[in-house]
Amino acid sequence: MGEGNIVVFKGTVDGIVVILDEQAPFEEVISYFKQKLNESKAFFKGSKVGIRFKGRLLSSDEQEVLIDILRRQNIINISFVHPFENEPIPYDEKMLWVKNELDTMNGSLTHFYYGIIRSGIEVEYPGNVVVFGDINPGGVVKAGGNVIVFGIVKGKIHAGLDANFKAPFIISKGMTPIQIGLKNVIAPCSKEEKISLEEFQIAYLDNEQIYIDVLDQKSINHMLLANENQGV
Amino acid sequence: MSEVIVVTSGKGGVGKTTTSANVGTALALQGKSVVLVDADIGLRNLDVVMGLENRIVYDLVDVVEGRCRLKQALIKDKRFDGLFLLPAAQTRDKNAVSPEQMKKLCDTLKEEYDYVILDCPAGIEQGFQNAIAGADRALIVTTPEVSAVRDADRIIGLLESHGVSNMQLIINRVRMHMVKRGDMMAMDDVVEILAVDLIGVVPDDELIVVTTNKGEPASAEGNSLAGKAFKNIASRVLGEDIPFLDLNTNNNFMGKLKKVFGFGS
Repeated sequence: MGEGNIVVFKGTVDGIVVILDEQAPFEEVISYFKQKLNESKAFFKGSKVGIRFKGRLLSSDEQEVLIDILRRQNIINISFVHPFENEPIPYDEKMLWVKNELDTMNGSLTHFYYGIIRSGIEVEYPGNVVVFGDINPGGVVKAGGNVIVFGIVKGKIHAGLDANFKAPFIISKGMTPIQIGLKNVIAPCSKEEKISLEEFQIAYLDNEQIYIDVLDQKSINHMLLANENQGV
Repeated sequence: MSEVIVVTSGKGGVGKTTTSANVGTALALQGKSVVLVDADIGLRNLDVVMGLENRIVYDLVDVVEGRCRLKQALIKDKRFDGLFLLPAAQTRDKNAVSPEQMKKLCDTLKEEYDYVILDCPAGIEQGFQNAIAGADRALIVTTPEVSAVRDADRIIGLLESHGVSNMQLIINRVRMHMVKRGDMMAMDDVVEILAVDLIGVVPDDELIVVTTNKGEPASAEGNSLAGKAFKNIASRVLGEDIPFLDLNTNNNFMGKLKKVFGFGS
């Protein structure tokens, strides 16, 4: 891990996540943490945020040190410090269920569609669907389970229509559907949302909301790492 | 080797009949024997565009129902050697003919002529099913509009499911100045969605309106850019490798003036 990555600040919906390197000596982590904090002075200026530490198993003494630093500084106005993690979790732990879900696909019914799903073509299948081609505007895919598209989604796509699939997802090369559905959540996609067609993306459900994230080598690595940590 | 080519689009008004007339004429000008078949029964107008309306005695339905021999219904275009028209009936509708009958007709025509060009009606109903029944190849006409591209996509899907796999795309009525401004879909966008080989791009050309109204195909004359584009399509149908037209040339008066004075594109 490069020096720049020993301490990483990441902004999230519920505040700042501070990812601490697992291997580096604690003293080094502390000094980097202080340094990063000072560097981000202008950025945080007066904002009130929650803070969460991740990526490293911390003893109660070490936790004290970190809290102490936060107490002494006047850069970030901390409103809340999330409880420390009991064990190190790679920060992209959400990828774990993708792997689990893929494992359930392995063995459940999967329909393979070869070619472009053009306007007027509707593919409906109770299990999973894998499409080798684009889904054009006017084309529809409805799956009981998950959908993987080796192409660009420009039509309508709905995954997880079967309630047995707890956490359905859609993976595709370019995610620009007219309408996207996961379980009972349906969302229209606005044309303004310019999504890169270079990388694979994953659409998933979190708290009745549909999210679309990039699925790059890094997140796949995290997925596999999370899997190893579980001893699967 | 003879070939039956269906000119189709799904959406109406994108230029199927104009394309059929012009590509057919251009093929005849290249020395091929060509039959233009109007499959748009009930709404025929290929005869009007070709300027042959006044010579119709028998039509396609008469042939299929055995009221006349095929030779009697075929109208020879006296302006172009080897060009014939089989007109549609105006008083009947699409159900007057079945796909099997159309296929038989196409096979018969194929024996005598190099190219049979079918002008397909708009829509995906009986008329479309009839027109594609005997086709070896399809030319899909679309304009750079979302609705036309959507329908073309549907048509491609239907052609595939009917076993017509040899198809090429014609993008008609392209306005380069609008494409440049970003107000019209670019050719690449259309091809990317449809994923079909492009065989020609035809610019929007006022001369087409003029020649169509006069009943003289634009590809028979030398001075229209659209006519030239149709001629090139015909050459590509024959298997020649011809570069695409440069549509950026400014052909209006101001453009020419600008060129003379050294401004301009």
